[in-house]
Amino acid sequence: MRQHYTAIIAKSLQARHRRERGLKYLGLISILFGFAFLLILLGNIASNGLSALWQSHIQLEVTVPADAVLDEHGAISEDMVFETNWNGIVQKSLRTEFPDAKGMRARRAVGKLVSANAGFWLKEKILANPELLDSPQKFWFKTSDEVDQYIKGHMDISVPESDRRLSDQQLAWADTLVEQGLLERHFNTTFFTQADSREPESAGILGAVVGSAMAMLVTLVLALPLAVMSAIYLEYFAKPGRMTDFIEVNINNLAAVPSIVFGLLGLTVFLNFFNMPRSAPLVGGMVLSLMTLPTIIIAARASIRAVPPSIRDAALGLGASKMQAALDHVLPMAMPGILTGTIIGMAQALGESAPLLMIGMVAFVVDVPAAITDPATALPVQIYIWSDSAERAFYEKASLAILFLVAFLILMNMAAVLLRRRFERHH
Amino acid sequence: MQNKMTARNVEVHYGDKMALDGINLDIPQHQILALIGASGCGKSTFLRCLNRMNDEISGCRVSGEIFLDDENIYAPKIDPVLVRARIGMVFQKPNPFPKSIFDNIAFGPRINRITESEAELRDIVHYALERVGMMDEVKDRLQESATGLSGGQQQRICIARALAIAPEVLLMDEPCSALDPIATTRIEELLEVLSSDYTIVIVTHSMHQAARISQRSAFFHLGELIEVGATDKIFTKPDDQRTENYITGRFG
Amino acid sequence: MDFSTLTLLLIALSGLMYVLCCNRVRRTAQTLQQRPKSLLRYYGQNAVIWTFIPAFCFLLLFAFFHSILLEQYYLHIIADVYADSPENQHRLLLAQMKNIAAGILSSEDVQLQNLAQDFAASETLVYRARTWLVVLLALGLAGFAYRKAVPHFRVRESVEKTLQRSFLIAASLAIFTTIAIVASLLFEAVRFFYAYPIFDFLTGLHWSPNIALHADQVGSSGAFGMVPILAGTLLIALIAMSLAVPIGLCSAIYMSEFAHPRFRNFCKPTLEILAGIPTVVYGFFAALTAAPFFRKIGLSLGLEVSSESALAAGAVMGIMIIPFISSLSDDVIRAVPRSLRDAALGLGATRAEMVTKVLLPAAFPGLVGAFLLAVSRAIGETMIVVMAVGTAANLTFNPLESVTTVTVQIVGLLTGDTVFDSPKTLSAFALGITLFVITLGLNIAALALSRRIAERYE
Repeated sequence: MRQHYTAIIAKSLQARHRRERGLKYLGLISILFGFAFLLILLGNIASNGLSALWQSHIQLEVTVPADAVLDEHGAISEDMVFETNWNGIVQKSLRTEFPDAKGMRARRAVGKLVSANAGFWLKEKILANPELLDSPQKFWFKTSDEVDQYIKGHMDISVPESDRRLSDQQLAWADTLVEQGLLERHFNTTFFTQADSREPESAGILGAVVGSAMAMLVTLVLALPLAVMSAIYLEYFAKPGRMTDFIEVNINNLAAVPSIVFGLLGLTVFLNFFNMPRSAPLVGGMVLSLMTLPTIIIAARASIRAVPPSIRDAALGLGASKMQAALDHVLPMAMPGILTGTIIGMAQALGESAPLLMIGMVAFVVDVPAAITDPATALPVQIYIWSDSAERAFYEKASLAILFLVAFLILMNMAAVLLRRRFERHH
Repeated sequence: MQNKMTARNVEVHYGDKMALDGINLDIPQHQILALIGASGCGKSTFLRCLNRMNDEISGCRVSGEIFLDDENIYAPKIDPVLVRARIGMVFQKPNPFPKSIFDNIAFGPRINRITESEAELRDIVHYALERVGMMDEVKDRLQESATGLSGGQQQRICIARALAIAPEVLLMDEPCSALDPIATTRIEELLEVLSSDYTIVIVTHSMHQAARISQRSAFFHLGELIEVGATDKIFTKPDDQRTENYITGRFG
Repeated sequence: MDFSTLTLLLIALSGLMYVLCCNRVRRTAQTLQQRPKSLLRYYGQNAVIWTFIPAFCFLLLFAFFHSILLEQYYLHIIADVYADSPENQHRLLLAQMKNIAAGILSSEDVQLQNLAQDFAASETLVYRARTWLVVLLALGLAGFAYRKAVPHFRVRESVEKTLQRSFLIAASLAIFTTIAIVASLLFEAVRFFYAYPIFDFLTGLHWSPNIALHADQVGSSGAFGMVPILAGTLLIALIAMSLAVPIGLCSAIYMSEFAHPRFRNFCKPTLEILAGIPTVVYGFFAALTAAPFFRKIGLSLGLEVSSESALAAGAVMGIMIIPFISSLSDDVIRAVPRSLRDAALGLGATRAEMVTKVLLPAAFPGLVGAFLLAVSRAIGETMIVVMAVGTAANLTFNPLESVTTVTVQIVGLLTGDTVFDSPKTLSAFALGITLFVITLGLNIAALALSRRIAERYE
């Protein structure tokens, strides 16, 4: 019998517990680092993006003469609408606010205060309400993005005048308008009702949202049935062997293949070989479904496996065929789990942009797509396009679009978590 | 007979569920005490109270006092790590680390910084292997992985691993339940030898095993300690009807 | 009729056949006093399978292949008509002809106009033929299924066999996808290697694809040495991993071994938010916030930091990978059996000693597998680097300078208007197959390692 080591061990403990605390704090700091970054990221983007919910408007009194729109019979004539200089009407009204601005350059500088699309907006407004013709009307016109950024305080006025997008004079005019109550910030509905535009103040996310929704629809329609079929096959009918192993290795590998490779596949096979339309949500959805398929298959297999074997054995014992047991008894019980996996896969696909760049969904598209074969872009790609633009105002718009995208993705993930919790309670 | 450990009013709760209710038990020094009873009766839970392993299970609360010599191991200033170093434990399934035989046995001395010198460490490992009677079996393959040994050898390595830090008490949680009869016999013989130097508490499912090796037995039933006494007496003239039912195989 | 109308028509016909066949079996069963061999719905399903599937498959095949075949045919005609013009002009003429036929373009060339008229006519003809073929196929097979709808036909076995076969096809799609990826990338890459030797591609130290636009341009040779790109990719992956591995692993250890269950239930979903944020958002942050931030810090320390530094992109990418590593490591650490934890704690180990001396060594192969998967992700990550890193291929290992990556080059070479025959665009596919091979190797190694640990503690 040897002596006990109690005293020696007791002496070592202080240092050892200190080390234990060290490891514990290291872990805690790591987790807090992750949290801190999440807060910084979202906070930074929110602080840049929320201001895009508002847009500066200038109130101007405009009189549109009847002959700008109507022919001699009092009917709307497209030719006359086309020939009217709508921007000119807006500019003229704007210049009356600043009678001291004389000369070509000054007048052009005044014109820069309102949006380049103000005339277009006026035309639409008048065509919808012809009764407003021939009488002075007060309208709120969007300012140009530069004025909007200045009003929101995003413009660094300490920069020398020559390096700025607005001159001191223009800033003074904008300040005057604010003092007169003619320049106000209104809620930016355009952001939610329009597609992309060259002018930041006319750009919106609707086109991209519809493009994304269409691509997601295609992805769902293709990926969910295929994934369920594959999962049932692999769990119920596949005979263990080389073929099944090979399928499994392929699925696991595809789940980890970089997304851009799927884009290359879409480019060479769908676009170049099969001549499918470029920039179309149809092709985007097909590529994304190939990309998410492995994720959904893996989730579907796991939830089919989680169904107690007694269910299947009971069905088989009552004389059901293997297929009946799988489809009528096991599948309904596995469905919540499969849907959870599908939501997670779809959330992944919704945030994906790299493969879409490859198949041309990065195009500048001003129209909201009406069919899945129309040229379109997707929300993450729209963010990419905007963040690449020179104007500070697009940066703000991209931030707001990110907030919407992330909020939606968090909602999807929360739905998946809730579904999973309910599923687990049932079992 | 001097008591090595004493349990007073030990209660254990898992969440809202009570697992042990007011256990009072004396554990005499240098003897083998067998804890017997049906599955789920609380005997393993009680064993894990004796070296504060239950601290590691979330939702588990232990109240009452357990004395090692004269010290309450549940007193606030006590370090559970030191308690576990002083009270060794061997588990149901042999659980050697995926390391060499030598490193397995040297694990305790190393982490507890018992020695700085390699030669002394080798002595400790050799001594532990000799105590479990394995020195001749493994002396040429100390650097081979312990997971390659047979189940019975693995379990004896685990016992040697516990002995290497010279514990005062050895707790064994059904150490033979995963072993074949020959390996079981060897472990039982080993325990008899060890009991001259160590206080041993063994949980066992097999009444024959309890009868063969233990001097005293304690019968647990539904979280209560029903009866404790000399093994001969428990197995021949139990005081309590429930003990008799269990011994004669009416339940359990 | 267009694609969707025909599909709707097929669906309607299938529904009708379902009802008809069910009714037929019920009626004959009544008159013959015979029990049907299978449930009624299987007769209906059988009818749907015969009516819908072959006709729809034909429709799909037609949609995929008709324009290729038609174009090949007209390419031959153009080659005959314009025999004296060079071969690379033919495709251009084909495109012009198609545009004339669609009414987008007009041309003085009478020959081409005639061809366009022919083309438009044959397109109409082909579409009309498609409609008839689909309708006839569906009706014919529907009739066949209707005749088979008799009570003594064991229809369930036949329906189930068809279902099982279609399940097999769905499962094999993973194989087809892999084959399609390899084949398509390899095909284009081989075309590139005809123009540019593969050895130079793999070992060249210069990458400047932009000067190879026109054959007659000065210095048109173009340099396609991928070493600087690969080096840049690895540099950024290295920066990302050296941030993500310690932080991810420490978080995983804390969550599985130290955290209170309630704190863990809060932490895990919160970190998963980080994993769910789209990469374009990380790219946005890297390019517009992190890169200027690093540059400013560098300047205040007197260091020259590029505004597209590898450091900024790598650091943000590392943060993106943290939740990936922490959740994979968590899985691996949890896979180590409880009995080993008990053994260590029972010997008087502190939790930290249990983790570092037992859990981590036991989980080591699995952890390496997880890290390899993370490296594979870092190498294949696109948006962060596209937005935050430049396109100039500098061969440097200085993280403060600007480098470029494989994915950045692929995106740069293939977006915008591209001509598909130039080595410049084809080189993107050579990079693509390189990327695929590297990530494939990493994935397979990771898979093998995680299988090994799964076998050890089954």
